Amino acid sequence: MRRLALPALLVAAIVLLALAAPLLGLTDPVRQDVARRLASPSATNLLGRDEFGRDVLSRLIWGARTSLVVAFASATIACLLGTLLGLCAAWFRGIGGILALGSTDIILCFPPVLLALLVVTLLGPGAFTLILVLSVLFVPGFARVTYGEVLLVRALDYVEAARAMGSSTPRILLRTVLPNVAGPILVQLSLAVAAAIVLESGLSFLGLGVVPPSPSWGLMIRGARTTLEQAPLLLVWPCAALTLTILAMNLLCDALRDVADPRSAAALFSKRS
Amino acid sequence: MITTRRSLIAATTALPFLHRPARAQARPGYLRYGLSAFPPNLLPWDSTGASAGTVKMLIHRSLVAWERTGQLQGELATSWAIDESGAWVFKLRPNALFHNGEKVTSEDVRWTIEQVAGEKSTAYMRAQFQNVVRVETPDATTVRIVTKEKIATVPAWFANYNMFVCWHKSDPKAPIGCGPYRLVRQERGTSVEVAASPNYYKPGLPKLKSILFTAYPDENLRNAALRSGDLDMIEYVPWQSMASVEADPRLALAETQGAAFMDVLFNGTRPPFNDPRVRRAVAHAVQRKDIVQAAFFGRGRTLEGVPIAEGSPYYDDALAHGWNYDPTRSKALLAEAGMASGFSCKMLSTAQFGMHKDTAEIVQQYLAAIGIQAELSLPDWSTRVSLGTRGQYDLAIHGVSADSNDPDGLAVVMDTSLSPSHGRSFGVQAPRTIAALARGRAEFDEARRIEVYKDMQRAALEEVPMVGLAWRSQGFGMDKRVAGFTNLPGALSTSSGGMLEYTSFA
Repeated sequence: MRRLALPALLVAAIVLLALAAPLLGLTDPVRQDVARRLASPSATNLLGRDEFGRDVLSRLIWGARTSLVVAFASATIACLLGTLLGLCAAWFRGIGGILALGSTDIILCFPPVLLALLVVTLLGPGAFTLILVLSVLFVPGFARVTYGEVLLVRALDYVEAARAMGSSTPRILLRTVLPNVAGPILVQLSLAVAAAIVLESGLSFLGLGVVPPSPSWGLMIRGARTTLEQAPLLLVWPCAALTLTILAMNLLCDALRDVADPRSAAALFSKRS
Repeated sequence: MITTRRSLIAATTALPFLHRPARAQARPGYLRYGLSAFPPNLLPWDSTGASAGTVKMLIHRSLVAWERTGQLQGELATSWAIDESGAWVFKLRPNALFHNGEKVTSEDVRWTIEQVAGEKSTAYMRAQFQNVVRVETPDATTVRIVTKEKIATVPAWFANYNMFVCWHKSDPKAPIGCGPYRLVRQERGTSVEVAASPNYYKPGLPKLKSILFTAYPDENLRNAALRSGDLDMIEYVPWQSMASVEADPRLALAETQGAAFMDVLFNGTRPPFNDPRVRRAVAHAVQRKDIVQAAFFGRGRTLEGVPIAEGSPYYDDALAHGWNYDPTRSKALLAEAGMASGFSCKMLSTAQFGMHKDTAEIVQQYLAAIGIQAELSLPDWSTRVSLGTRGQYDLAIHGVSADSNDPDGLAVVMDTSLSPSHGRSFGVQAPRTIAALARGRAEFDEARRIEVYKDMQRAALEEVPMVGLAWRSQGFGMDKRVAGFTNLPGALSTSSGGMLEYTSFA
């Protein structure tokens, strides 16, 4: 459990900072002041101003909100859908199961960025489209993981016992099977959130994600690229934020796996001691 | 020596500190030029952008071309004049040859005009040449062009880089030209190479043996390739890099002020922008100097009226500031139009080009200040073009260059009665502006033309077929040894590619 503390603390800090953005008394992240564009860091603008003279710190924190909302929303939707699909496919098997799993395989055939580009081109960029695209992209991962785990669990004695006791199928699935496969799904969730943050920034960088003037890390990197020679620091801040967040998410995911997966070495070791 | 992990890491970290500028060795008479886009095709009459135009201007020639000061000079034609009946007569030079060795005759000019104005033609200049009633060829070196009415701007039509004379027996899908260079090879999406034609009619030209055009669509890469010496010359130096190109002792920047401009276009087929007062409110709402700073790094000028450059005889200082920044007036105009409380609308631009997106963001902020909430839509460029052509927007931000420095070159932007285009407002009613443009085209007297175009500016300030925002400059970056190239003045900057026939290494 101690392994979980540091990464969880980091992620919690980032999420809290993003949630508290309106309470921090930051300057409006979209207010421009072109006369003071590319100003270096000062007491009023701790990280300086960007190419439109907007406060970088404020955009960084508000940008975290956008990135995290998109990432968590899409990962959660994908998790619910994918888990449901995998659960049903593995439990009922048969032709329905094959179809359900097969349809997610079609999504896996496409490179994720390419599929995202296609959908964004068709629907137009925006936070809503991003959530839609990303959740569709992550469904197969959840479905696959759940499917595999449920296949293992469904033949175990305690499931058989629940069935013998006359529990209804939904009850067995939700109360008996799901808690026993939750560990890997939780790990998959944290992986998906990290991947969603990267994809969101990537698409925003390409101009196909968040619509300006809303702040987003990807957009900030894109904007800073043109002024690289005049103000190189502008590129550092969003990149650092992105790296830190993804590192924290991946650490958390690593720790979660060790704690939640009963077969991992760390779990075995902690049980023995 | 055994490479250990430690030595490898040390070597890698040391790399950025090794400062030995390595440059590719230049071959004499061989220029390496960085294009901003690979030419989709090199057809002589189709418009496929200014980069393709640069290559086309070298392979092909027309009756006339723009020379260094922005005046027309004879190319295949040695002289031209309008006769008493109002037809234009061009005298051709006798010594011009096509790349296949055939002589350039009046028959070729007639065939070219027929192809351009033809029924199935997709030529850029088709609308103009449909005014031609017939082309007469009294002898091999005389062409007489009869138009529906007298038109002053016919010679300038032939200077466009989508209007070249080709051999009359060539396949219309691959016409044969008579320019200073001929196409040697093409690598799709990457490069085009041209070599000097032995048949060219000007003695001693072209100066270079061959030119290799390589496409570098990413502006930062293009600029880096110039600075590292991989290229001898590039077009469209990004504005943020102009200062560093100027400061580099090895490089030179050829910059033309006011080569193109940014503007706001409207959808005039539905409220609220079908009301000229609302369009004028937009015109007075934007502080232009912010656009010059943020989108063009100061490499431009504010534009508060119809885009006629200072220094042109058609320029009028008072009219040029007819749409000055005055938010109080904007609010009053909105109130007059019954929209004092503001409204929401959709603003179209593109994320593909930074200057379009940056301009849109600044305009959005200033519109919000007078109560107009414009939601940005930033699709890729081709979607932007098709949405614009179909009128699926309320306002649009666009960047464009006039066809020439003559005010008639603005018709492409301001004549909203022409076919729908992404570069013009959609269905905006501006009858007085359009009528004045037509009068100017038919007027031959210089003093009267000036008056006509001042009337046009007055009408446009009230009818608002578009709103000018900012002039932007255009720069070519090159090695200091590259000599003989000139960036043509004003709107002709995109036609500067023709100057490569005089270019050489000093």
